[in-house]
Amino acid sequence: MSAAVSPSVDAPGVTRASAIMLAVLRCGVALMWIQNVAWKVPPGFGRANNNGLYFWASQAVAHPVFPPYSAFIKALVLPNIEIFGWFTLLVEGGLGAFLLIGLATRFWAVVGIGQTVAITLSVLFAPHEWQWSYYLMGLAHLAIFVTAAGRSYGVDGVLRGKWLASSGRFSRLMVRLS
Amino acid sequence: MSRASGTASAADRGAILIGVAAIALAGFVFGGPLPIEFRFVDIGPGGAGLLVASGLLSIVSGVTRRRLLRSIAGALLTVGALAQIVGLALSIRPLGGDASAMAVVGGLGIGLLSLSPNPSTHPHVPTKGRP
Repeated sequence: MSAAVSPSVDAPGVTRASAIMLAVLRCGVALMWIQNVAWKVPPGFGRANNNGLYFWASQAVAHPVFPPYSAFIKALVLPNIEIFGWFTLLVEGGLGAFLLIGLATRFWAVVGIGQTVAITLSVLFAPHEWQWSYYLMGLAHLAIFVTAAGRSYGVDGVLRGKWLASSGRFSRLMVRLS
Repeated sequence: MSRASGTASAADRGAILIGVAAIALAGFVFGGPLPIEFRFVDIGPGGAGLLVASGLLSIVSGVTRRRLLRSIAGALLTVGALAQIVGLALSIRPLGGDASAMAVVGGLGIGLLSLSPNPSTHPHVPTKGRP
């Protein structure tokens, strides 16, 4: 077991090069969410012109992947896109923000897997989609989770020692989420 | 103003790293001519100015080891992100750009605020035996 490669890295056994690559992976996935939160535009989220989030959510109905999910989208999401649109915007904005800085990274990796599943169930069978885009999205978040990538040049790596030394409830929670 | 003695801690280095990232990401204000494939962040001059100012403040806080400056930079960015969220609901954009500016500015702000209460003299003990 090697010593820490940097004060910003709390990942024993990880070389400096590996830590840098994990940080690049984490920030790259963050930029994916950041770029794609841009086209979630309130207040209508594309309902008026059948584009944007409304259009892509409706693909779950037009090209069903999992019929119960399609029924959920048709009955609940599309009629209330103004509410679900804000939920999507905040979740994807949070994914971009927290993965970028590497805070509570394992928690956000799980959120990313969940959001990837939702997107996959919406558009996997839509025309001109490359199914591996969505498989790779899920696998990238899985890699971030299993490597706890926020401990490499992320805020998790800086604060984890402090959280481990503390017996407070918040610190114990952050140890689990990081 | 809180200032710790000794060498720079991980939190100080983290503040410098976040400050550099903020200034680098502000460069997307010139990203208009870029192909959409490389336009990761859409931010206006106001948002870019906030990123540069807060980034510089964050770097100075890391170099001089003054946590108050880090808190101020983090608070500025976080308030900017909250203003952008409210602005999105009202179809105005205080930072320019779109929700991507909110995510970037908010993330960096939360990161700086997270590092602010961390005493600069806190020893860094690498985790052992944790996955």
